[in-house]
Amino acid sequence: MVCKKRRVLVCGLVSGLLLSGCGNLTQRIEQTEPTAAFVEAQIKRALIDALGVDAAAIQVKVEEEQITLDGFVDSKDKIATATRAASSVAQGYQLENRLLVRESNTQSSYPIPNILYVNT
Amino acid sequence: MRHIRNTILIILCVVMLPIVIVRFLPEHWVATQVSRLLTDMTGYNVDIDAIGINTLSFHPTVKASQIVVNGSQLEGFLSLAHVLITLDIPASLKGALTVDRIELAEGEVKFLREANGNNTWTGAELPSKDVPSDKFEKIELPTLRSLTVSDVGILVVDEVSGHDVDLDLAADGSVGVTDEQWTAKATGNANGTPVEGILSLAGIQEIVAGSDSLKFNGSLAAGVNNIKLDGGIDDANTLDGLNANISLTLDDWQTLSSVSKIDLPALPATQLATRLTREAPQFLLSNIDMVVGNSSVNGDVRVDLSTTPISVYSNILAAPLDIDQLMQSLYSSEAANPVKNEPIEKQSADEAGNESTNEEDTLLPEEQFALQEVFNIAQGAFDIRADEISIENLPFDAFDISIAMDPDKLDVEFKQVELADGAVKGSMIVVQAGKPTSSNVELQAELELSALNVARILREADLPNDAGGKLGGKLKYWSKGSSVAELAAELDGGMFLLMAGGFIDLNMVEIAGLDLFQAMGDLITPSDEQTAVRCAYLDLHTKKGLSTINNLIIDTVDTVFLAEGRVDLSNETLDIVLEPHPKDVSLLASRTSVSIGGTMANPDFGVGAALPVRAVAIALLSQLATPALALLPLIEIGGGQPAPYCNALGGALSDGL
Repeated sequence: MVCKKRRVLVCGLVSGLLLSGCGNLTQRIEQTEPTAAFVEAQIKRALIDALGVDAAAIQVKVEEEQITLDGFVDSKDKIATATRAASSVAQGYQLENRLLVRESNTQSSYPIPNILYVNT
Repeated sequence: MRHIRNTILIILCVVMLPIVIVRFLPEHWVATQVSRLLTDMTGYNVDIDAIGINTLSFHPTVKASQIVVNGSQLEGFLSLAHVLITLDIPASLKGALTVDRIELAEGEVKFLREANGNNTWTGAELPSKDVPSDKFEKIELPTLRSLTVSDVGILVVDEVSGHDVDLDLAADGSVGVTDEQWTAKATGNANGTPVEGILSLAGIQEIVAGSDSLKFNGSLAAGVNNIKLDGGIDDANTLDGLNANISLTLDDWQTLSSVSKIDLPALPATQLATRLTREAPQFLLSNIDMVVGNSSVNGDVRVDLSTTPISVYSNILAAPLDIDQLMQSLYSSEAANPVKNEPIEKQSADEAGNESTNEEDTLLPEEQFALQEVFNIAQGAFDIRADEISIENLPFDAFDISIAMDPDKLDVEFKQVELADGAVKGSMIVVQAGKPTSSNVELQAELELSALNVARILREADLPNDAGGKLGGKLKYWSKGSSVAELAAELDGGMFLLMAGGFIDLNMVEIAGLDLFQAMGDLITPSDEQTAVRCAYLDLHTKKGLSTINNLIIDTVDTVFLAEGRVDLSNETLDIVLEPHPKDVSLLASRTSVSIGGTMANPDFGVGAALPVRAVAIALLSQLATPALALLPLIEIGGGQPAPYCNALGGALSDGL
C-alpha cells in the first residue's frame, strides 16, 4: 500500500517535472577546493584522535594557507590540545585559534561509590 | 496463745478486709472512678458502665462492660461490650505485675474523618506538667501472657482520602512467650475489594522489654493479589535488625489501586520476591527477583528515608525487557485515569486565535521546566542495564545507563547503548541554576554514535527503507535556559555524522538528480535496484542557537548532493540550500538549487522560477523518501573523486564503520 502510494506520488512529481520544462540554474554552493577539503579532513581526524567527542564542537576552516579553529571546548587545556593536534597535521599553514572555553557547572557526578552490585 | 490468735486475726483482717471491700464495691461507682481517671490521663472521654472485680482468687479478674471512648472532635472512636482482665497473683508476687489474660469482645473501632479534618481519633490536649525531661520515669509495662480479641469491627470512613474500610478483627494467642505466637486475622472490605490479612507475632513482650527480637509472618490478600512476609526485628523503635522476606503476587494492579486509593499503573501480572533489611539509616531491598509481564528484573535497591529528598541507590538488571508491553500498560492507565483537578477554562475567540497562530509559528515548547518535580523526587544513583529489549519502531538491543540525581543536578551516563547493530555512548548533565526555585538549567550533552545500521533504523521506524549504511558520529552541546525554546536559543556546540558502506534507492537518486528519462523508466518497470552511497557526511556547528552547516555531503554513484545554510533556533527560521549534482550524462539532467526557508513549523521550499515543480519534487522527496539522508546533502569533490572527509574520518568517527 505504501509502495503504491509512493509510486503514484513519484509519477505525479515526474509528470510535473516534464510539464514544467527543464533549465539550468546557477549553482549557489561553492565546492570546497580538494586540497583544502583534504587538509580540513586531516585536521578533523587529528582533533578526534586528540579530544574524542569534544572535537564535535570544534569547527575547522581551511582557506588557502589559513586554518581557523572555531567553536567551543570545556577547558583551557583542551584549547592547547586542539592547537597541537591541528598544527601537527597542517604544517606550513597559519593557524588562527578562535576557540572559546564554554563555562559550565556541569561536572560529571561519576564515579559514584554507593552503587550496589547485582547479585544475580 | 490468745495473743497469737488475735495477731493472726488482725493480720488476716488487714489483708483480707481490702480484698473483701474491693470485691463488694458497687460496680457502677468503680466504673465512674476509673472512667474519670482514664479521661484525665489520656485526653479521651472514657465512659465505662460497670466494673466488676473478683478478688477472691489467686487469679483475680476485672470485668468491664459497655465501654465507650470518644475523641475531642467527633464521637464514637471506640465501643466495647466486654473487657476481661485476669491477673496472676503468684507470678506477680515474684516480680513485675503479670496479667494472665486480656479479652476484648464485641465492639467496634471507628476511624472517621470528615472533609473538614475533624476525626474520631484525636484526643484532647493534656495540660503540660513542666517536668524536666531527665525526670521522666520509664513506664514499666505489666507482663501480658495472652490477648484475645473477638468480634471486633474496624471501620474507616475518611472523607479526605476517600477510604472506606470495614473489617472484622479476631486475635488470639500468647504475647508473653517467645516461641509462641499471637495471631490476628482481619477480614472484610477495603474500598469495595474483599481483603483478608493475617499477622502472627512471636516475642511481643520481649521486644517491648527490649530483651529479644520480634518474629513475624503474615499475609495480605486483596482480591486476587497476595502479599506475604516473614522475618524478624530487634528494635521496634529504630527498626534495627529488620530482616524480612517479602513475596508479592499482583495479578491485578487495578484492584491494588482501588484498595490503596493510589493511582497505580495497570502493569501486567507481577511477581516479586525480595529481602528487606535495615542498615541504619538505610533500608535495603536485596536479591530482587521480579517478573512483570514479559519482563524480568533483578537487582538491589537501597533507600534512606531520613534525607530530603529521599536517597535511593539501585542496581537493576532487566532481561528481557518488554518496553512495548510496559508502555502500553502505562498508556492504558493514563487513558483510564485522566488527569484530575484541571479545571477547563473557556477560551475566548481571540485567545484561541492567538494560540493557533503561535502553534503555527513555533515548534519548540516555551513552557517553563517544572524542575522541583524532578529534583524533589529523590537523590541518589541508579545503574540500569537491560538486555533482550523489545520496543516497537526503535532498534534497541541493550542498554547500560547510570543516572545520578542530586537535589539540583541530574547526570545521565549512557555507558553502552546497543542500537541498530551499533552502539551509542555519551552523557547528559542537567544542573539547576539559580536555586532553589528557578526554572533555569544548564545542560551539557555529548554522544558518540558507532556503526549504526541506517537501514535497520528506517525499517523498524516504519520509514521507507530506501537507504542504508553504517552511521557514526559525535555530538557535543551546551546550553542554558528555562524551557526547551530557551535551551535551543542558547545552544552552543556541534556535531559531525558520517555514513559509509550504504545504499540508496536508485529511483530517489535519479529523481533527485532530475534524471527524468531514467526515472520514468524506473517507474514503468520498477525494480529493487539500489545505488551505493560512497559517503554521507554532515558537519554542523552551533553558536547561540544559530546552527550553521559547515559541510553536508551525500556522495552516491549517480549523484552527489551538497548543501549549505543555517537554522536559527532562537526564532526557528531556516535558510538552507540543497543541490543535487548528477554524475551521469542525461539529456534532461540539470543541476538545480533548492532553497528551504521560512520557519521550522512552516518551511518554504523554493527554486528558480523556471522549475517550481522540481523544487517541490525534491523537497517532498526529502520528507517522504529518505528523510535521514535527505537532510544530509552532499558535496562533490573534484568531479567524482572520493570525498576526503570519508577517507580521513571513516576510522575516526566510529570503529568498524
